[in-house]
Amino acid sequence: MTPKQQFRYILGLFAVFIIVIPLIIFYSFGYRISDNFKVVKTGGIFVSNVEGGASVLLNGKFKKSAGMIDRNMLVQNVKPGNYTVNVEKEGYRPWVKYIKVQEQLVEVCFPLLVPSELKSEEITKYIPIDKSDLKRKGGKRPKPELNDEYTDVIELFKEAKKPAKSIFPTWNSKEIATLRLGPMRKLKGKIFLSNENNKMYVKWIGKKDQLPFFINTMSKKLIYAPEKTIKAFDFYPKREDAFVVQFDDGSLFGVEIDTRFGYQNSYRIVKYCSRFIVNYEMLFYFVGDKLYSIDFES
Amino acid sequence: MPKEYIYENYRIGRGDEVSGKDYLLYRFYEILPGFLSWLTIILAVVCSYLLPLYTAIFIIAFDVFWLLKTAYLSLHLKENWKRIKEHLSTDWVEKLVHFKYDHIYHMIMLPFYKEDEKLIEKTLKSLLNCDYNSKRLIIVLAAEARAGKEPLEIAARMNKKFGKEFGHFLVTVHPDGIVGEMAGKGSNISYAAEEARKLVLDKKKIPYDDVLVSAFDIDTIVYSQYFACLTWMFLANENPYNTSFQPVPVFNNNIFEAPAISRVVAFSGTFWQMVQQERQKRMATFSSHSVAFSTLYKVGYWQSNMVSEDSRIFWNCYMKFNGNYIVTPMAYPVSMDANLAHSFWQTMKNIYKQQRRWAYGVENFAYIMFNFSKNQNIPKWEKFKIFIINVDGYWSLATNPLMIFLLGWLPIILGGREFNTTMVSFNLPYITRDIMMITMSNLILSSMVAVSLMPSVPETKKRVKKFYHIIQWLLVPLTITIFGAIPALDAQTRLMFGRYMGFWVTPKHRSE
Repeated sequence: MTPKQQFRYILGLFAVFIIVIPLIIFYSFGYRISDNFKVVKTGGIFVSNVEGGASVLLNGKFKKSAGMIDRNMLVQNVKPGNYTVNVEKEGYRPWVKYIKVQEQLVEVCFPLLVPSELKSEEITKYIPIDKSDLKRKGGKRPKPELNDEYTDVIELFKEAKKPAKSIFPTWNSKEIATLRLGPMRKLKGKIFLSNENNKMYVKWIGKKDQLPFFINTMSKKLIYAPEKTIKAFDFYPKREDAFVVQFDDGSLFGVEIDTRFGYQNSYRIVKYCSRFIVNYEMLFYFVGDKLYSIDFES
Repeated sequence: MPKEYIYENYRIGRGDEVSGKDYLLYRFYEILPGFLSWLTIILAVVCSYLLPLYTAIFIIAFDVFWLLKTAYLSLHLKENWKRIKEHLSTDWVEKLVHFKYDHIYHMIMLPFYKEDEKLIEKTLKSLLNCDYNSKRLIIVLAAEARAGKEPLEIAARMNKKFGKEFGHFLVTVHPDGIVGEMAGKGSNISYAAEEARKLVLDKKKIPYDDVLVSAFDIDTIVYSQYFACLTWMFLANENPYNTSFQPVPVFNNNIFEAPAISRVVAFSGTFWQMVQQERQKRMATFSSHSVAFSTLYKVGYWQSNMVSEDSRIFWNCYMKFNGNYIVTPMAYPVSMDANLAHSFWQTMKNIYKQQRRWAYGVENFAYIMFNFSKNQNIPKWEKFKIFIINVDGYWSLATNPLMIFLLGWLPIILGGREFNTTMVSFNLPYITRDIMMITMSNLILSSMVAVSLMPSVPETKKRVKKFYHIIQWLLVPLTITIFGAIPALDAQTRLMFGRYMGFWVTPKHRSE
């Protein structure tokens, strides 16, 4: 390549650089050209960790769908103002939030999408006997065999009654000790939930810089004050921005922690149960002496 | 009045070879590249924390700069690819008819350590099969005494088998433990060149000006018209004694046996050399190269007290001739081995060590700058340009992939809550991703060039292999970080702290 050609290329690419850089930077800061060719400042809405294929609607207008891999969505070009955000997916209960978009800022949403029909499966105490097996053994009923899954879940229920203990001391074990964790005081990551006088509170115990948007304050914050009496609660399966609460009538509700803009989504999950426990993506509950499970992963 | 510059006084290998003010100056230049790279990384972290907004702007600008730079380099790659194809299809023997060239000898330096006999034999056979009078080839098989008896026995067998086929065949044995030397390729071929001078050139009264020396690795396989092409370029050159001739190293010898990562790293090296071939003023010699014997003799052969003798010989010549020295890009390939060991992990280790050794070429920076401070015959503007080219080269190699692929996320991680509510914070990963996707599209050209430079897929290899040779380019973000930036940073840090590296011989392995 001749030096002359090189010089031409450098000049051309430098011109591209000079032109493109301000455009990209202004764009990334939320500046847009309006219909009447004026420069306007816009804001955005970030929808976090939504189910793959879910759609976002702003004031009833479709904006975007989540991919199967990248489950976060950034809705841009939103003029400052108040909006109704709907997140919908077939087979899930609709989620709604009323938010305020400010110029050059992004409002973050954490939709709690709960399947319309939650599949619960019974976990039997004993492994069911195959009828053909019974025939082969000449109708003689064998001794029932205990179901391992059932015994494991029973163990989980027993463990839940004990105060949480870690085998190894952690750097913040003293801090955690002061939280006096128990059935009405629960911790997940750095999010501390407590039930005091039938009122649910949240407190962020991490660094201020890492404060989640759905909490939004370093102080203890009242997030739920139901009319019915809270019997038990735990974090929602696989999530730390929502919790499951059991009322004295035995019903289980999934409730989001986010109370910003004065609206909080909550959904009934189970009509009645005597007690429940959450373990990772699984929710186990008893109806009488029958044990059921719901897998929130599927 | 400034002191007269005597080149011979400043063939310095490392800082601790000088004393007083010279030591401080030399060490300053040894520290500078590593210091700048680390300063960049530390500043990226600190600024992401303290000034996340401005850092985000910088990252976006840097991403665009990188995209345009990649496009610019790709244009050079494409241009050189065209030239290589043209040169490979040229009949150089036919072109030589217009010159008187019977008097030209080619001295081929083949240093070896403990390499396999078959590998050495294959190299010698390729030299014999060239479209060039083999009686005009002087083979110097340069063994190392420290390697033990076996290499000497191999050399003797090679001499017996090929000795009479070439004009001259000399086996030299570089003694171990010469004071002031570093064990490695530089010291071996310097010793061998001096032995060849005494035992062949002087004995046969061959003028030094008529001998072209090709310093090869033991795995270097020449294409059939390499020496015809080299001879033509030498004879057609206006200043043939003030230039080194640089072929394009392609790592084809065992390309179908080497794992994908090794292939991508090897071809990345080839592409860089191809790009440099189109930027003559930025070129220094690398790996296999050729130079007139008389020039070599004047500069005292390759430096034997440092690692990167292949590029240093260019700077030796540059200083000796007061800047009146340049590399002539041949746009003609020579084939070498890609990294391959007995196991995958050993191959990865070898790639890392080889890349670190190449990146240790940063030791040349102190040599260049120190000699610039002594040599007043080179114009200041020329010195400044070389300073900038070198600083940019070493800095880019060690920091740019890290900045692009890793540090781009720092403002989001460290920027704090206030920054993380801004549009720019949310846009940053998307913009970076999109720019990177466009940048990666340049890899389509890379894969096309690589496939065209490769030998045809052997019958034994499945057709699907060709498909792998295209999709392997998706490994580039990984290879330029793990086998580019990190070994470069490693090498610069060692030099910065005065923990000087020795010469590491890349083990050669080919599947049966």
